[in-house]
Amino acid sequence: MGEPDVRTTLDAVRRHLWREHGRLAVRRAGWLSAATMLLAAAVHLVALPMPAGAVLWLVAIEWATLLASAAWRRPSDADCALWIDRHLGGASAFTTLLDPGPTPQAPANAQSLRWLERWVVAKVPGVLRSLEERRPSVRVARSLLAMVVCSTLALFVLSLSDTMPSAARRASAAQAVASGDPSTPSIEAPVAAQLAGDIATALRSTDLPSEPQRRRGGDTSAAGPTRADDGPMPPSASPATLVPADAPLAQPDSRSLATVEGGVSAGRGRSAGALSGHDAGDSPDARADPGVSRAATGTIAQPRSASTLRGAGAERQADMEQAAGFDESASPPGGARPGAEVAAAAAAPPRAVAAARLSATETSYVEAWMKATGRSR
Amino acid sequence: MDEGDRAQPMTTELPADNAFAEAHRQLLELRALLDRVIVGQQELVGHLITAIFASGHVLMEGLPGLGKTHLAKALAAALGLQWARVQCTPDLMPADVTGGEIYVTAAGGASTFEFRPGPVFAQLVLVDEINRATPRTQSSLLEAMQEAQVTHAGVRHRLPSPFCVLATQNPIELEGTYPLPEAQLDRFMFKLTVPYPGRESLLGMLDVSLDSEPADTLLPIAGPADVLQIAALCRSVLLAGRCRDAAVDLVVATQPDRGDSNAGARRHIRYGASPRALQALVRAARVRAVMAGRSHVDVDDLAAVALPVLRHRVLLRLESELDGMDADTALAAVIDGWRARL
Repeated sequence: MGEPDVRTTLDAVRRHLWREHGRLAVRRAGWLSAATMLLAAAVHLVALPMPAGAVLWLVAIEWATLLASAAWRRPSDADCALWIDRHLGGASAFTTLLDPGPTPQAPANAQSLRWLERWVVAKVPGVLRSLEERRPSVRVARSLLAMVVCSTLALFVLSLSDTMPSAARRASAAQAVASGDPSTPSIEAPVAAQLAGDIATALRSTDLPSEPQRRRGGDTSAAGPTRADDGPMPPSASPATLVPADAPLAQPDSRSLATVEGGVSAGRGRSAGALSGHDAGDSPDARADPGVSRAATGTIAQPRSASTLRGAGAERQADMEQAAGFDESASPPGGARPGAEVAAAAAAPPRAVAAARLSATETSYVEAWMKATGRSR
Repeated sequence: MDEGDRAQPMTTELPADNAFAEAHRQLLELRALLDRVIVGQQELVGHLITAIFASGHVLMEGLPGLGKTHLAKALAAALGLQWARVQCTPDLMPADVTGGEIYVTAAGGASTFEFRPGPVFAQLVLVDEINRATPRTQSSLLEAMQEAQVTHAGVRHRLPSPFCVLATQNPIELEGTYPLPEAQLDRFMFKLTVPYPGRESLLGMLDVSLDSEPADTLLPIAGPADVLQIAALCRSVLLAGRCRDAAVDLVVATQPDRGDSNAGARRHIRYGASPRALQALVRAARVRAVMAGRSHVDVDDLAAVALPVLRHRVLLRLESELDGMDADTALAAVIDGWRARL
């Protein structure tokens, strides 16, 4: 009694649930496709080229799998009855009607079942009406839109043939320059050579007028046999600006080039002496060469080279009155220490490099500097 | 020897096709009648009717003057039930409740002891201020409430049917009282709290019961036989597997030592509901289904009776009681969590 109506209701709900499952599968497939396309585009850009056809096949497989799984999960009668009871005001009637628990053989249960069937039949029109008025709970527009946008973008990226990453290209170029590889881009080589020549010329022009003054200053390092202007500079010799700060002082090249930093390092040496101004008069050793004594206690190479410079200008360092007389007003705004101006005047300018040719390391340095300067512009 | 057979139910079959419709109609009529007499206590009246037809007993807790005794009298009058009242005091003895043997001299000169039934042999027993009776007297009700019989001097006396105990207790003035033990509390199907009526209800009450007692003039709309018929019909209400699982889940959710219990229960409840609570829950839900015109139980029926069934069957932790937590608040969280999982 009333079974066709109940069956009709269950079938209608089953179709509704099936559609909901399908919409849910479409939504998942949309988001999954968007993620897949974006991932493929990223891999194509970063790691290895991805053929667009393979990516589209992968997306198609995802869609087919999800839709097939949704179609495969046919809602059972119990599922439909439970859904009606939960969402369409079934009040557990449909679940009870399909429940195998009650035994219809018992008279009391038979009476209850008859009443239940009548109750359910009376409830069917309202249930169907509620079902028709019910809006889909699963929305697919957003996922489909995301899939379309991501797919368009990804297909555009996948269609690009030259997808060598710029970062990798820069890394390979820098490696080639560092190794002296002749396959370095030809367009950069003349520019680098020209720039190196300009730098060498500029250094030579600034070095020539100060050479006599540097010799008058008693620079003992200038008398060394490895002076740069005595002859061609060996390939191993480096200009002062390229010498690392922690280079050994006993190295002849660095000793001869140490005067380049005189303007700065002398100021540092004086400042070290001024900082230890009270200590400077405490012991003869400190008065003789406070820079050396301080350098001996430290591990940083920069003060060590500065102390060497102070050793070169020992007459000024020995003047204790001058070391103790710190004039704050005379200090430059950059934080130069007392006596730095005097030391800077006594320092020799950078020594000229006789040859304009640079070694491979120097060339790579100049090129890297040029690129960095070009990027910053 | 069994006595009280005279009060056995008169079972007459309702027409098979409209039994539930007829029961539904009678229950609605009874409820409407009581709502007219007991103004502003609709929920209380509904639970009371549910307990009557589910063969349960009710413990009503409320302040004096809220109409508890009036409600019991009106219910007995509307259903045509024989009712008795026991006013509990500390000197009340068990024989005052169950009855006792008295020495009777027959006309021929032969003397014998004869059992004189007490007030508990009425169909509707109002035990007023039950917590003022001593535990010994309170325990005399245990057998009557659970097994519907009284054993006296080795003789078993059956109680009439239907049989229902309506006990009241006062939540204040606890001095000189004896709180009911858990075993006795578990015998009550419902524990109902009687709230203050609203303003509109108070105004209506002035019209209804200012100069007269409406329960005294109430005409019965049903009899004990009808009560038994409807109660029997309620026992045939269908209970699907989903609702069975839901009822069990609810009882289990109150038990803090179970793995699938509610988090709130684990935090606040020391002892959860007993299996007797599960039985009471389903029986009451069946009556609610018939009152709704259905022959099957819905989870909403279970939810409607969950709180009065469970509130006196759980014991809170001492820390929660000190924090001001009561059983209703703790159970409300449990019931909400249970409903969310359905």
